[in-house]
Amino acid sequence: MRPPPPETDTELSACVDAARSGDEDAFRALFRAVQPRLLRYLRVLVGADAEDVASETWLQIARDLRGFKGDFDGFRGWAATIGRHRALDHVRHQRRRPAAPVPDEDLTDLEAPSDTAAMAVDALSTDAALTLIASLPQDQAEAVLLRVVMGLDARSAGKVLGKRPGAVRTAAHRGLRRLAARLGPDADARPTDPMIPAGALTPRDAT
Amino acid sequence: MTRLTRHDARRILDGRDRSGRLGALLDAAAASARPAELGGEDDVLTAFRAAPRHAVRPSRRFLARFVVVKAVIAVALLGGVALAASSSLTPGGEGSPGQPVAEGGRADPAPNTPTEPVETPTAPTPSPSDTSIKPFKGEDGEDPPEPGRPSGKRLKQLCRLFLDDPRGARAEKDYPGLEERAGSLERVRRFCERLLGEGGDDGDGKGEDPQDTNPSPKPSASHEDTSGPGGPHNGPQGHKGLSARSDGTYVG
Repeated sequence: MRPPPPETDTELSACVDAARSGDEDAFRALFRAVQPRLLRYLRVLVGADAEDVASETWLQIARDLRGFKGDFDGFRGWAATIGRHRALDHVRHQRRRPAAPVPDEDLTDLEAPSDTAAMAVDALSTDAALTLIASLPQDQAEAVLLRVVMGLDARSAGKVLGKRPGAVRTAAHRGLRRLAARLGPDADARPTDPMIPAGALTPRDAT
Repeated sequence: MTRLTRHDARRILDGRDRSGRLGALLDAAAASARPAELGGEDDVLTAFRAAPRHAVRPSRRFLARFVVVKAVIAVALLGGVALAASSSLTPGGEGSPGQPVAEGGRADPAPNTPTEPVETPTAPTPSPSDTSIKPFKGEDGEDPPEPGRPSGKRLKQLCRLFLDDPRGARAEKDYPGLEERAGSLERVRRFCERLLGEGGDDGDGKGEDPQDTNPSPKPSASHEDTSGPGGPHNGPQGHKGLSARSDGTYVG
């Protein structure tokens, strides 16, 4: 159940090249490798609209990929940047049309019902983790997610955010400290149920 | 509670240390994909298939290079001819040795073509050490407007659609043309507002949002990065908006 995707970064870098010249399977592999991370990152930016924003992001990626150069690392960063821009667009658009606020209930829609109970448990902790991270100040949440979930280094994350790597490190560091404080002291052993310190999340958001 | 040092933080962020609750939290955040997170694959692939032929860009560049080569040859030939002309005093040679331009269409591309490959913003290749993200530069790169792109009425239509429903607009086949006209994705909204505004069109509530009317000057920006400080979105406002939103969404 650990992350390792079917392809290594090297293989995925090859996929980037192949996709650029139109290879559909390669593009699919990229989508599968990046979409879940992207979606999680976007969730913190736009909540329940993450899927919409992600699909806009992919449309743009599909369209502009031919002009992209770089390896898989670069691709992830590129995707994150596009996603972030789309998210910002989205937020601005929402604000200018207050008619369509996103009701909190919609948050629950995000989690499509999953097939197995085991998956639901998984989903819960990932969601809970994301929710907790999302409760950080925005810059910290983004720094943490770009580093941990999108898998970018500080420098790449900085490019996504338009910040210096040092600023990203600081933000991520602060974010982690804050998270650690919320999680409480380690019982030294890794808790069986990783998550969810009482009170860290508001129940309504815990999905 | 041990104090989390910067060094610790880095180890944790890099995934070298994922012990303890914090590690578990991050592991959970980065856990492997769930099927629900892979929805939309078909749509995305459809879009991929529909995307302008992927070979277009390279072949254009190839063409450009070809033109350059041709132009160089043409210039060389002309120069040669001119030289020959001036030395042999052939009629027609006089007067124009220095300006192959007189040859019109043929030689004309010479001065121009060199800029073309530069404009095709095929994101500069990042040197590996230089990290991968360079390609972003391409994102804001200015594509030269291409002929056959939407114009006039259609452009306004697209704009109206965009202001109304950006997502819908992006699904339009000729939407990329709009973006090109605007200069970059980020500028589409303003471009449209201006376009519709000056046309006396029923704008779409422009001006409601003062923020939009005074965005930081967006010079075609150092396309160093679309996300750079010059970008309109990274202003404090954009950020505030985001956090407001996500706070509202997530924080109890």
